[in-house]
Amino acid sequence: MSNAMNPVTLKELRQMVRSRLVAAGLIGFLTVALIAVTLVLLSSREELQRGISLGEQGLGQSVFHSVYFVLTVVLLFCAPFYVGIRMGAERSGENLDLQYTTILKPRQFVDGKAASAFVLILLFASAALPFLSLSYLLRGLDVFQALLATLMLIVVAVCCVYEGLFLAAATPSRVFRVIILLAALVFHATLVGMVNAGGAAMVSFGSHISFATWSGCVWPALFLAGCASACLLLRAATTSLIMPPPANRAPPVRVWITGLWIAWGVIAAFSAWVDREIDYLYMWAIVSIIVMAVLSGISASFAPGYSRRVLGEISPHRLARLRHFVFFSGAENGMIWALLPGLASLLAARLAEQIGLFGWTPSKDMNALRLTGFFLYLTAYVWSIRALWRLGLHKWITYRLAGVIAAVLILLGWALPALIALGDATGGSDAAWRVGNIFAVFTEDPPEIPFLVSIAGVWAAIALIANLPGLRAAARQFAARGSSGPFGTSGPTAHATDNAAAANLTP
Amino acid sequence: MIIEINNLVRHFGKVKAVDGVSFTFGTGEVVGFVGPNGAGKTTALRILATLDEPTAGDVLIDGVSVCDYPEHARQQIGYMPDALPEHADMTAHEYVDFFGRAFGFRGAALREAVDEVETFTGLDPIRHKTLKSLSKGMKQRVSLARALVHRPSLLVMDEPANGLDPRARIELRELVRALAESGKAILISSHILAELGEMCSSVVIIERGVLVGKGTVEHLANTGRPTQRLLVRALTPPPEALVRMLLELPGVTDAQIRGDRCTADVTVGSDAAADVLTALVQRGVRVAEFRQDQIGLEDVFMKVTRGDVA
Repeated sequence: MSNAMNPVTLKELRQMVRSRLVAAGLIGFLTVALIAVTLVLLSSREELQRGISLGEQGLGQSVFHSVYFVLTVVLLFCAPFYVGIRMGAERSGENLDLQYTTILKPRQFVDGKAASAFVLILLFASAALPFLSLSYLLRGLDVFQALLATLMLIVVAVCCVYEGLFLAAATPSRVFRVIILLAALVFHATLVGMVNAGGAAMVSFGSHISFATWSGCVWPALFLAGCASACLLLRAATTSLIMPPPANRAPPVRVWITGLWIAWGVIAAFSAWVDREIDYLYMWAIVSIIVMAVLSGISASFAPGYSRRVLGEISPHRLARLRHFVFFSGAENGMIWALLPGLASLLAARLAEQIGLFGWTPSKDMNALRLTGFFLYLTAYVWSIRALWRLGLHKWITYRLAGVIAAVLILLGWALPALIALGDATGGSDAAWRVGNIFAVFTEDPPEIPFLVSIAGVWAAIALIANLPGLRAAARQFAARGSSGPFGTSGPTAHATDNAAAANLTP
Repeated sequence: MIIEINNLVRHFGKVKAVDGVSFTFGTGEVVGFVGPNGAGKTTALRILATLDEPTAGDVLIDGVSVCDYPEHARQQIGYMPDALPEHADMTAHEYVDFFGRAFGFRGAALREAVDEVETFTGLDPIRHKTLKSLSKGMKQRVSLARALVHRPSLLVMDEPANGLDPRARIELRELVRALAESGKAILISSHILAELGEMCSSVVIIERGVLVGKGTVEHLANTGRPTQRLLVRALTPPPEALVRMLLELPGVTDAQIRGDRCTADVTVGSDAAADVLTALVQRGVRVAEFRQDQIGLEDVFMKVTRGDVA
């Protein structure tokens, strides 16, 4: 069986079996659960002596709640931290470097670690089974609801494992790691509270989930789809982060995000069709625009030029090369990639409004035109900063800060007019609202919107034009490439020339 | 197998960690990669091990670029870093087994490959001990076994003798010799020059990222040197008189006392040493020892480097 397993999973499981931390955790969990159950049973001794039946006093539920709480703490707190610490330790030492010298794929590292963490989760869940069985025997518990609550906990725990892996991969510096650790502690404490309350409510009051009807399946399906999306996204991001810097790191992330964007678009369209409600599409479009703007900012913070490994992976076929241009690592092509789903989301929203299928009508507060303005402003900010960096900012700041600067300017563009308006009762600051405020398009004065969108459009167009030299250089890199296999004609001389061309991209 | 390092350049911002290093070596050769701290040795080795990418230049293994085809190169290269990760929950055997699997070995082929390297590196008695409990010498053996498990043709070793006791160093030296005899090309970066001098068939010296010398130790020692140094010990006359006598001989440019011996710098030539010995015997000197002064790698290193750090 070990021959069929991912080597990383096997290694992690072997280490886990020998790990004192896991053994101590398991013994600790069993001890705490035992104490909790004993305390619950002791506290209900008086009622039992008075002859109140087990079902009436809800003893089963009380035992379940106590075990469920302990299990929630272990699965949502201890398991992701254990996985994160192990990943962080490997990443800070040379161990991961050594694994890069093998033929293992980065994806296999992440999958191997996630699979071993899943085994750990199942181990703790199975350790809780005797207590959960006891809670059923003590009456007053709906097995179906208890099972659903436990499954929900396991699904959230798997998400937390991916989150732990992602955070450990994303934080190589010690200072940053401490900050992230503190934030994660707060987040997980909140999550433990929420999941525990949700699980307790499901068992106490019933979740009203029924798989007998189509509509009964919607919420569980959405919950699972949301968790699966989060896991896939974190998996892709972690895979990208642990790749060596010269590797082609973007495709796993860009491909999965594109896939999730399409999948959620289909879900939104389906929901809009079922409920005759266009707002689902608007929600999908606005979330897409925001996410893509963030990703555009991240792409803008990439180094200029392309590593030889990226260039070496470009296909000689024209169509494939076009696909590679959109999905491969790189700044300008990454910004183009982020632009496309945003545009497509806008088009979908606009089309839905225009066609007016199934009685869809534009919402009063939100429509495709407002979304267009919002999208154009975000695009204008990010692309302007990249253009400015190319034109002169590179003398003072590193390319890594381009996205952060864009984010700061977006915040200033929103906050400054608001602050000016606070001290100006005459309304003279209206002009300030029209330039730079990404939320200006959500004004309560609809006639203003076309004007605001025009301003954003002109700015975005100027920013795009200013980035044309960089775009042209990037396109040339992809157009010129064409790998012909490992031992083909693309020899070292050709690569050296291309590398020099890539270096020339640096202003 | 031919390994060509062609005009390798790696810049980190304005720092030129490696700046135009080129050399070539092949099967059965043990090449020492020497340089002061911060000279760019580890950077160059990391590029060779596909862990980094050069700013310019290339490394070719049998004509195939490691930068363009890292997956192909990884199967050819065994990389041994200066330290082994300390796992308290992993045995030496499990560690080697994991890397065997990571290179795609499974089943009988995996068992055979792991057994082979464990026997070769002498890990059999300690295969079930955890990595953390091993001595430094044993850790280096585990590290070597890990680097060899996929049967690479090129072995890259970064400071392999660092922190080893004399016995472990001798054992490592023997292992390296055996590997070279089995046909592997070996590149060793080290600070312990005495060790390298005994192990390596040639050395490459870099400083501030620039190659400052390459070739055999003898070649480097004599490059640009007009004289060779002879070491003479005589029963009679005493050293002071012997020095005066040596200075009178034709071809001797300098002579000095060194302990109970004398050194004589003579013009480089095939007969120069023989002429000096004949003349001394003819003048009644009772020669007890007469040999060419051996110049070690340390002398060569001091000669070609300036001690600057990038």
